[in-house]
Amino acid sequence: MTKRPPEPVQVVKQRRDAALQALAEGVPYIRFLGVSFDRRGDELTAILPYDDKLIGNPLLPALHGGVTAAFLEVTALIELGWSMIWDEVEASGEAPASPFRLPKTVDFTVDYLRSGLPRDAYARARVNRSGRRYASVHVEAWQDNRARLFAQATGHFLMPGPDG
Amino acid sequence: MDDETTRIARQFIESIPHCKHLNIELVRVDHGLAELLLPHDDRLIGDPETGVIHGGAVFTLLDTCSGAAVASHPDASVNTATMDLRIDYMRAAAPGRPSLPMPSVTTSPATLPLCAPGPAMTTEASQWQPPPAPSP
Repeated sequence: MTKRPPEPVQVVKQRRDAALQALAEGVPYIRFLGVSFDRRGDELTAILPYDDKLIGNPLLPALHGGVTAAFLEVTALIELGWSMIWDEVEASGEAPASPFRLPKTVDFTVDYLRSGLPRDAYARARVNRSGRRYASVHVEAWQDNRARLFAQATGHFLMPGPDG
Repeated sequence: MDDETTRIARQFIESIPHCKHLNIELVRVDHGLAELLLPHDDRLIGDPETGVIHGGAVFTLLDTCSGAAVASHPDASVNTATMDLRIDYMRAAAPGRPSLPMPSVTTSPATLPLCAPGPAMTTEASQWQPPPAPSP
């Protein structure tokens, strides 16, 4: 038996980026907020570029709490979806057939730790449990300093059934 | 509340940049009660297959409405900040219809030791949608 040569790095990158794009681009609200994803291997960082329309308190000024919550929920959902398709993308060598069914949020609890400054924001999520029925995801968001979170959240999600 | 107070509250809510962006409207506000409306908008869709709006937009609606209810409470100061917010999804929002949350201040204000000065309040909000008009 001969060992297959490793795939060229560009082919691997293109396939992973295409799978990630397919996951996020189909959701109009993600475009509405302007959220994008930076990928390093399987690690995702969500980016929310600052925009005046995201302000909730013009006097401070500060990001709207709803924007912060939405950013965290988007990050949690895409991370969960990404973890669900990763093995398939790696094994089959191609992006999963679209449209991909994202899990549904059951509940989502946000802690506002500091006010959201009028700058870019970043978030990373960690899937703490992912079963057949439900998943539990923790997500952290920061702005200038990775260690100084401005918000964190935990959410529970209902996994899509085998027939969708 | 009198018309003048409601008018000021409406002006205040509708001048918040992100609320303006979402076209959130104030329906009424009254001593710890607030009612807001989020008109349906295709840009807010979270599930393209069903057309249901994203939970993030619902979050903004509930957060703004809770804040408005707190600000209208006689014991509250004008400045409010959300400390935490938990959302439970009871069912998916029906596509194509507006959403209305109804929060009310459920506990009396208590001073929060970590965050001086000023009272802390808990609000409870539920979001609902008007039933579809009966077909003729």
